[in-house]
Amino acid sequence: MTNQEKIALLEDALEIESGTLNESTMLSDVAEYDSMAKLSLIVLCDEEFSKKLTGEQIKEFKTVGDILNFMG
Amino acid sequence: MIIHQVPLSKYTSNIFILEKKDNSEVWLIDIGDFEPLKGRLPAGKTVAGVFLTHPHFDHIGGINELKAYYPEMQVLGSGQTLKALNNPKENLSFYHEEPVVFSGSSCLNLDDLQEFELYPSLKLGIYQTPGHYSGSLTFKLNNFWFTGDSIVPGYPVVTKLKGGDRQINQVSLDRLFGMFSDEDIICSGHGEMVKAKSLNRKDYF
Repeated sequence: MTNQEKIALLEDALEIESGTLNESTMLSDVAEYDSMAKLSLIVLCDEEFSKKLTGEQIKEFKTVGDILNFMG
Repeated sequence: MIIHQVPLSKYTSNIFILEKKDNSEVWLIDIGDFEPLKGRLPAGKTVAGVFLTHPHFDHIGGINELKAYYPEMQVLGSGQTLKALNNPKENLSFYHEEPVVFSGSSCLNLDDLQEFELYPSLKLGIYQTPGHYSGSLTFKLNNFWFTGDSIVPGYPVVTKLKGGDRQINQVSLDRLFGMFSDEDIICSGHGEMVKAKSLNRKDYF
């Protein structure tokens, strides 16, 4: 899966308008990235990438690129 | 009719106890946790059943303990909600520390516009309100509306979780706001009980 495809999945899971995010987007600048969005991200990583994402790992994410790297 | 609100510190969600003074049974709306409920149940009364607004972990987390305590009680919800009770990924408990798997008996599937008789001549109205979750239900008793997470006063409805749908949610909100009267009371899945007239439909777009 390309990074663009991963970003599209992320935008969908976070209910963010398509084309809003890129690899260097700071998560602290994304208003929609709240606790519910993080839960949605955990589900996305499990179902689409078979990866278990913990709260501790989420705290380490600073940019969208960090999430893409985790997705693999 | 007495409505008791039991706010849960664990998930910030609510349980509601529906009590009729001259009756030995109470009914519940949602069961996010069991321990805080135990001390709030009216003395000498038994739980006849629990109505589930939707199956997310913060609204069903105490269901196994409740059923163990009241084995005869009914569990009532939409078909999707009842199905999700034994699927921790669907009820999202898998992603929390305590996965919930419930496959108990006495489950009753509720339909839109159905009325359920809680007590003689006292019926609970049932309304499908998908959006936050595909199988979300809202319940109405007299002028009390139990909306679960289909309306949480002061917050836009969360539709980004599994089973959520932003467009369908708008239809459900239109439906609910079209049925509310000013003096109706909204008993949400989170937060305080508020009068319907304090809510503005525009805040939920």
